[in-house]
Amino acid sequence: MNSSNILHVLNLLTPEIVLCGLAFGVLLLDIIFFRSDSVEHRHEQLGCSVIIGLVMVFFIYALQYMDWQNTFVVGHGAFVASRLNTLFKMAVVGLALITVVIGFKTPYSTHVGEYYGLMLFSVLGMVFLISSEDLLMIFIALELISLTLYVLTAFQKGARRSVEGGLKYFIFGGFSAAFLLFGLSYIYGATGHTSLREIAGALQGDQLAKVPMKMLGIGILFTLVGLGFKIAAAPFHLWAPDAYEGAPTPVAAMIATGSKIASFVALTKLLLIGLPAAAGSALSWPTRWHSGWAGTVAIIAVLSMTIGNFAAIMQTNVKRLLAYSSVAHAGYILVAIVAIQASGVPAPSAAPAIYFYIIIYALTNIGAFGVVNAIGSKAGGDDFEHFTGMARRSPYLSLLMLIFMLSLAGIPPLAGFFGKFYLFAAAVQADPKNLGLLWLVAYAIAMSAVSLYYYLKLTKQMYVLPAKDPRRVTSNPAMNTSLGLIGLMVLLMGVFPNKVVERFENLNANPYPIWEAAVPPPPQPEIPVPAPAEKPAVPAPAAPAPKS
Amino acid sequence: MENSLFYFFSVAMLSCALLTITCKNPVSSVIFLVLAFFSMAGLFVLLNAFFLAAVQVLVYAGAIMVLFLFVIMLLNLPAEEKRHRGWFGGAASIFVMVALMLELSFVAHHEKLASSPASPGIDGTTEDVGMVLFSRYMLPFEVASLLLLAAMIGVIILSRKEKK
Amino acid sequence: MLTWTIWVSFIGAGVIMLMKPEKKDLIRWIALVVASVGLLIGLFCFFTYDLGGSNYQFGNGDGVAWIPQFGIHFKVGVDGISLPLVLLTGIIAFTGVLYSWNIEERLNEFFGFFFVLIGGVYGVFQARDLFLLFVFYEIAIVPKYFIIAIWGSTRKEYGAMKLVLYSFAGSALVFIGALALYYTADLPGGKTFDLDALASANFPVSFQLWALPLVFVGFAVLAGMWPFHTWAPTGHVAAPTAASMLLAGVVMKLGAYGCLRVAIMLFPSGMTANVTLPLWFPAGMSGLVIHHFWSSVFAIIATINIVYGAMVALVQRDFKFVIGYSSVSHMGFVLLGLATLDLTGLKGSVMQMFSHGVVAGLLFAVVGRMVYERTHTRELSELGGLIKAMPFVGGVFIIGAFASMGLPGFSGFFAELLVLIGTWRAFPWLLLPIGIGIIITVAYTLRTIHKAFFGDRRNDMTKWDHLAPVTIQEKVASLMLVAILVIVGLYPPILLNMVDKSSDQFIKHHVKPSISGNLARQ
Repeated sequence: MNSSNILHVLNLLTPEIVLCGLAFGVLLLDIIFFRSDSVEHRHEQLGCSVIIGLVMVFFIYALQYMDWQNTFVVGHGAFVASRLNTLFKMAVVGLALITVVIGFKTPYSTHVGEYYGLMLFSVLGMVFLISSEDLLMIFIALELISLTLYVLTAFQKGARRSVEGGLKYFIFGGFSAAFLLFGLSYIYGATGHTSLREIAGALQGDQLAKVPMKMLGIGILFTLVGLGFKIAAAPFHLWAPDAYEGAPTPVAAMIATGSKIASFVALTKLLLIGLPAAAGSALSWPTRWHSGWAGTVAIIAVLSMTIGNFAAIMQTNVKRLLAYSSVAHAGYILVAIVAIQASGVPAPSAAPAIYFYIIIYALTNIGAFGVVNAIGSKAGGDDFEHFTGMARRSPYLSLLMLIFMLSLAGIPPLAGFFGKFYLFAAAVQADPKNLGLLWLVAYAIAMSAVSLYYYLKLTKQMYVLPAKDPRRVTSNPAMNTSLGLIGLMVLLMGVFPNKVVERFENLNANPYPIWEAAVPPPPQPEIPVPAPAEKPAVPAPAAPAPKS
Repeated sequence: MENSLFYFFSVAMLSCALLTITCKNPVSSVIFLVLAFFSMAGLFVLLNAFFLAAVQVLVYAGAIMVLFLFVIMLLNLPAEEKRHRGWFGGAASIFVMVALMLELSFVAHHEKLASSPASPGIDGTTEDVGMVLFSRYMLPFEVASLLLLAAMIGVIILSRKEKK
Repeated sequence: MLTWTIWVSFIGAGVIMLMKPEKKDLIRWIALVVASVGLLIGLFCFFTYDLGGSNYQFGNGDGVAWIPQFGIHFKVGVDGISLPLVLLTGIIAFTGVLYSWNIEERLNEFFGFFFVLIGGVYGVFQARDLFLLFVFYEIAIVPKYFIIAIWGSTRKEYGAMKLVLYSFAGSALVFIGALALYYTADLPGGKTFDLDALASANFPVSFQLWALPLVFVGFAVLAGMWPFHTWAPTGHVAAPTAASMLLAGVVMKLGAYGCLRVAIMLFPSGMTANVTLPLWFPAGMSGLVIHHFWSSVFAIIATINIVYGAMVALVQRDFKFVIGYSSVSHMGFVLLGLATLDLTGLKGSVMQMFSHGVVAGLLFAVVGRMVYERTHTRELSELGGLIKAMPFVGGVFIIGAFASMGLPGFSGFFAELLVLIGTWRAFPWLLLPIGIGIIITVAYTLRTIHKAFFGDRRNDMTKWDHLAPVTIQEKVASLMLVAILVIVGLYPPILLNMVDKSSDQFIKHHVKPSISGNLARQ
């Protein structure tokens, strides 16, 4: 690897490096300078520096987004820098920013530096996960996210629920990691590659005959189980309610939004880029099924929608309700994942629909968690009874909660409605002649009609029932502003979704103008100009031929 | 020869792993775990992954497990009491296990695995591993260090006694 | 310009929502202004609709691209079928605000939700793009929940939730149908949600046969179609006065309008195609062939609506339940008129939508606002003798009831007559049960008038003497509704001309070309 190449890679990785430095900086600052300060003071100092740092990272990403026209690949896909990925990274960093804002001066722990440090490490994991197209990197990044979130979930060591949630999350997560690793190793074993593009190459044309398909099938199955845990799809969702309920609310928000985005992007990429040839079909259940992951994903989707929605009906705790609703939403997204390759050819709008929906979903959910945090910390808990009569105690936050709940339920003109429409339209589009996936879409729509019931049940607590405690509930202006902005975005993205859709479709239409060329685009002033045809110090993209 | 060694190590590893989770006494659990790691190292050797085998013995069996044993002996943990479990969980897990085993053996039976593309193309010597790890997989390698750091911080935070 | 009815309602909702709930009078007046703007625009367009001009007027031509990726346009416009319904919405909104003058609690939220609902309803009646129509349709669903659950009475949370879930389930069916038809339509101009383009898509008959019932039933849930009508009585009873006026007067028409504008317009062959039921028959016969399958099924269900609704209304003890079930019964006429696919039947159906909207608004206002909020009981056995204490209310109710019975001289008469003529042409065998239904209607109407306003002579006729007098707002609103009933009843062409023109166009363009053997034998 020559020096200009390394410089270029470092240039690509600037925001990640800044993020990493920020994490170390926060940890060190806390130890060196603020050790003796009061917890409140440390929160202020470190929280502000984290916010400033994240804003900086966000802007670096924004610059990269505007600057780039090409896709750069480092290390055979261990790190892929494309505009689409950058968009997701901006979303993740933005969500982390909101998480920090809503958790500002959180009373959950005295280990302030570690709280922010771990949170930043988790964001780093998400960022790497989003940009990786390599099995090994996917696994390591997922573990980085998970490990930090286990710890953050159990961060409130004095509270029994927090520790219980953390332990459950940890055990389930460890279990799922084992499944995932097993599955990934089988995929590697069957195809001989870890890079998703190369795996796809190994599954094409006459190469396909050499691949032991049954072994690959086992690998995919186990990988789906492992990733199913991470995205909390039924029947692998059992950790979610306890972790959401037990975790400090900002952490729960992070689990529900940032890590969801990253995991879904990884899952989509794995199936869309790496394994499209093994998709099989789930059309017109069950007469036109043939083997592949589409059928399995369809079953997981149906289970998630059913279990998520019906279990959510019975909840009396807002965070548990959101946990089960997130299971249901994972199901809706999986519907579109089924559609990616349902009829042998890629459905053009399936991937953009998934991307659009996860962004919408994360945005809405972080808003909801923000409101839960604001109200919960003042009202003394986040059971339904603490939310009773909130419309009069805090009209502003209640209105926002109403918007978020209705968006999750899919009521126009909010973003959730168009997101669902887009997802389901993409799924039907997979086989427009025979409407092959309509069975799944019809089920999803029926289930989302069920979901309105529990979202309304929560808003009923806030709007219909009288308040037991007439005192007003207020939150700080920063929180109010950011939540208000999220609410506005949810509304605007619902009324004018065309711009966002356009963006995703463009980015997805031709995401890889350059493959495996870690060289910069035409000379840019700030980068030392390297030799244009320079390959990275790794072998050529052609599959490494077995020696013996 | 190679086949019989493979079966020997596999059986040893599986039985040691089973004993690890069924033993009531923590100390013997740990000993069996060490044995399981040793057998795994044997399997690595059979696969020509010498570096991995050495690391397995040195790091896992050697360093980590000794530390484990040390802690357990210091803490002087009592033997675990028998816990009552519902029949449903047991039955379900046995069912899943049997189903998976059948599936895997089906695959093993039907696939000509020897010809699979992933048959090791390189020797697992230190040099080869180092070459791959520091060129192609450099980024994952670096991120793994962050992972370890995060895990360390987490452990310290969670295990530390809080000042009241 | 007519679009402003939608925007004014939404903007009004936002403004009122943000006001301080303490400024009650200001909120009321602003609400009245917002409602009257809608009404005035509606009236203006109603009287300037050019009978010789194009079918759709006051629109924006081919629309503005909204979400071009899916061929979704913001395309609005009204024809002679939807314009009366827009006007109806304006009337009900205006009178609804007047009847809500006495609400004291959380006034800003009440009118906020109220105008979101109104705006959604205006939107549905004006949309000419399926997606747009669906969006407005769904916007109109949720505010109902809050209006009923917060300001309602009698099992309000149950009634509200039931109503909303029924509507949402219905709209889920429509959603499925919309996605299916969107991808099935094979149009030269590419995929689109434009209703006019979709109407020319000539869907395969086999597709229409399953998509039609999906969409039709989905919309008809909101029109109170049996057996999905059960939300209607409980919802109406639980709702506060303005909301039950809106529900029975306008929202149920949304369902019927959707059936007409989406289900029938896009899938006319689905209505008229023959279906062979795979029944066992002696050798040589393949099964039972049913002509005009879905049309007949819906006509039969509509008849059940008429008869069943009337019968249940006959035995109710609660005043408001009587009106609730009578709504179900009268919506049967609307659905029946649609199911005939006959020009006369269709005209009758539209007339009935308008007329029942006004009648139901009036009756619910009498029962909910003028009677219940003074007597605090709706038990028919406890009421009685009200005519003496409140002659105005009694008079208004009797006029409304007569109009609802379909007495000549009121708007309902023409509407039902036209529907019956249409039925006679298409399904003559249905006239007997319908006749029975009409007789029962007369019976329960008279029974209700008798029990509530006159009652047993042995009862104490003075027990209602202390009731508060009727306010000026109630008088204005009631007289307005009565006047409309009488005007349309005495001079139907004021409405019928435009309905006639557009129904004719509708039949000519959408129904006729797709009918092989003409259903109505015209």
